[in-house]
Parts: sequence; C-alpha cells; structure tokens
Amino acid sequence: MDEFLMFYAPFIVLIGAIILAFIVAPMDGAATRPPKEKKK
Amino acid sequence: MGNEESVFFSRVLTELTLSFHIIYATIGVGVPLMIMIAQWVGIRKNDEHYILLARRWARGFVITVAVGVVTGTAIGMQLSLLWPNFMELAGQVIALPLFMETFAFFFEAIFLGIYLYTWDRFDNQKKHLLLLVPVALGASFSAVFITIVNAFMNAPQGFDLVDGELVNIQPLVAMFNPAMPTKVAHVVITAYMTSAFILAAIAAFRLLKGSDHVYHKKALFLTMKLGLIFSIGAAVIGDFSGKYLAEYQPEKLAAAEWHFETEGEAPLMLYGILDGQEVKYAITIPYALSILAHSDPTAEVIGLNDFPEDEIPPLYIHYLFDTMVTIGVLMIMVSGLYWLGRHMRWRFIHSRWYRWLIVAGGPLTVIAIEAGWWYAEVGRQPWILRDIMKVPEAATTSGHVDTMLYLFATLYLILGVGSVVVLRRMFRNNPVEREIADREAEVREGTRKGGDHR
Repeated sequence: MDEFLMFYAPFIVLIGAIILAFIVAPMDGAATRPPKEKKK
Repeated sequence: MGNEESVFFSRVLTELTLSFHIIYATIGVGVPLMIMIAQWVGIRKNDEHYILLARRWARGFVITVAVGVVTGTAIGMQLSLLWPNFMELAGQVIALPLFMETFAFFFEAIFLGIYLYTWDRFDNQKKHLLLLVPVALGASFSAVFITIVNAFMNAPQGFDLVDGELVNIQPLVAMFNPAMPTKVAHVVITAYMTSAFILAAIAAFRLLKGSDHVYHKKALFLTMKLGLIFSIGAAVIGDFSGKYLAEYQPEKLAAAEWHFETEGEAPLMLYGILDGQEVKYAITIPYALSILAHSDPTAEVIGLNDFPEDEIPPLYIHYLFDTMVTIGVLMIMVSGLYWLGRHMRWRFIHSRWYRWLIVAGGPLTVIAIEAGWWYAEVGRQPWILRDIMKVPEAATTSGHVDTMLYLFATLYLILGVGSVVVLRRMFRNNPVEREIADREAEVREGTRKGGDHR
C-alpha cells in the first residue's frame, strides 16, 4: 500500500487536480452574486 | 581563505541563490497554467474579462521569466563553481535531467514568444490557446527535471560505487529514484498553489483599493478556487512524502518531528521548544506521526537516537516544517471558506479583514515555499549526496567565495527591486478599467488591430 502511495499516487493526485481545475474553473455563477442582505 | 570559510560561504551563497530563485521559478511554473485556465474559460464562456485576465497575467509573467532566467543560470554556474567535487562525482549521472531541464525551458521560452506575439492574430482564439500548451508543459517539465536532480541527491541510485567513483551509470534508473514521485509532484502542485494565491492576493488588493469592477471579482473567485484545489492536493501529496521519508530518509522525518526514541503509536509534535531531548509547550497529536509515516496509528517510527550523531540534520528544521504545514492548512481554510461563502452568500468574505487575509495569503505562500525548500535542503544535511558524499567534501577550496557572495547579493537586490518596480509601473500605468473600456471601444468601432499585445 505504502509503495502505491509513494510511487504512483503523487502523480495521480497532481494530474487529477489539474483536470479538476479545468472542470471547476468555468463554474463562476457565484463570483458576482451579491451577499445576503442584513436582517432588519 | 581557509577551507572551512570556503564551505561556509559556498553554503550561504547557494542558500541565497536558491531562496531568491525559488520565488521566480515557482511563479514561472505555476502562472502559465493559470493563464491557460483563464483563457480557456474566456473562450468557453465567450467572456472578455477572462481573456483580459490571461492577457494581463501573461504580461507580468514575462518579467518574472526574465529574472528567473538570470537566477537559474546563476544556480547552474554555482553548482559547478562552488561544488566542483560533487559535480565531478555525480555529473555524469545528473547530466541527463539537467540537459532535459534546459530543453524544457527552451521549449517554454520559444512558444511563449510566439504566444505573446500572436495575440489578436488568430481569428480562432482556440488556436492561440494551443500555443500556451507547450508553454505550460515546458514550465512544468523544467520543474520536474530539476527536481529529479534534487531527488537524486536525497536517494541516489543507478550506479555502482567503485573506489570512490560512480561507474556503470544508468541515468534513467537514477532519474526514477524513490524520492522522485513525491518530490516532483509536491514541487509542481505547490507552484500552482502559490501562483493561484499570489494572483488572488492581487485581485483582493484591487478590490480593497476601491475598484469594484466585476473583472477583479471573477479573478478572485477563479484564483481562490484554483488555490483551494491545489492546496488540498499539496496536503495529500505532503502526506505521501511523509511515507517516503519514513522509508528512505527516516532521520529527516525524525528531525522534523523531534522524534528521538523509536516507538509505535508515535505522536506528531507541532511547535514547542526543545530542552535537551525533551519537547516543551508543543501541541501533541496522538498517533499522527505513525499515521503520517505508515498509515497505521500503531506503526513504529524510527527515532533520532538510532542514528550516529554526525548524521543527524539540524533540529531547527522542525520549525521550517511547521511553518510550511501551518501556512498550507491556513490557506486551505481561507480559500475553502471563501469558496463556500460565495455559494452561501456569506457577508464576511466581502469584509475588509477577510480581503486583507487573502492579500496576506500571497506572501505567506511564498514563505511556505521558502520554508519547504529550506526543510528539504537542510534536512538532507550533512550529505550533499546521501550516504556517499558530505557537503564539506563537495565544496570548492578556492578563495574569494565571500566576494562572490556580496556580488550576487547585490545582483539579486537589483533584480528583486527592479522586477517589482517594473511590474508595479506596468499595471499602474495601464489599469484594468481603462483597458476594458479601450477594448470595448475597439470592438464597437470594429477597429481591432492585429499584433496588439500591450
């Protein structure tokens, strides 16, 4: 198990993070949404 | 100048050069991916703001590349001049990754020139974006190859040691050494993380300074999202690095954790001070070191008392390790809360203090990178090539290293101040609001000219 984590998993995580970044980046609906109004 | 002085000044000069270069190298590796993502989002959503983000980031990126070239050349030169015995011993083994690093950089530099020159020259923006692929790949792979050299110094293999010489060299076996996967992945992903948080800090700073333009809001949301993804990835790979260290460099892990006795159910020590072999005022997390080292809360972790005294790294690396981990965790929390707050429409993420926290995240991640590199390098001591050659044996015996140190320090000061001044002027004289207005006017009038890459 540790061998997998030391030799293969680092590249899987790195490549996975890059792919995830491209998937998530265009989802910007929340970028310009105003904050909730203060309760009176 | 005596040999001891030569060793001392060689160490200081190498530390100074690496500490300065790593700032520009990190930006140089990470920012191309950020530019690529921004331009890709701009094309996909047909949003000029993201295209402009890519355009402005690319302009700033060129300045950092220029400085990175100078400091990178200095490192290459100092490797041969300050550590000639190391190069004589290991030069044949590390020649391949060093050459490939140079090739990757040329690959990046050539396509970067073409990419910058061809803004607005393609009717199809996707073709222009394709030019960025070799830039991003070249940048990342130059980091991969140079980190392989560093990994080899930590876990040398791929040769036979006969009469103090390395023979029967197998360069590919040397390159794919046990330290390589975790080191390479950690260096690359933290470069992406740091670049994202530096760009986020700039966007947050513009919002703090009164600009309420949607461009900055989009930039901040994008970079904080990217920062969150890459910082979580960095933490996960950091955990894998713990397993590598426990197996191949246990003295480095033990020194970082002030772990003296070999024992199971080993706790993780955060902060604190050392009194002899007694750790005081530390935050202790039970079983955490055993889990970090072997994914098992009861696993045995080798302690420092199992090693000869002269092969134990300096114990102050504990603070470097803690600094790196603390900032990494802080940035996961800051970016995670920002991302969640944006979706939940929380008010506090728009407050001045939270934006200042994001601004602080830029320099903090650079400090984390510095602490991480110092931990990696000092943690390898006393070896320059683990179990084969110690640092003092590798150093030059020439005099005047101190003079070189002062000259290089002056050079780095000029480069550092110069690059900051140029970047500030570049963006201050051409604010985003004016550039957006100009581009909208150009589009309206249909007078977009080719070759504009201001």
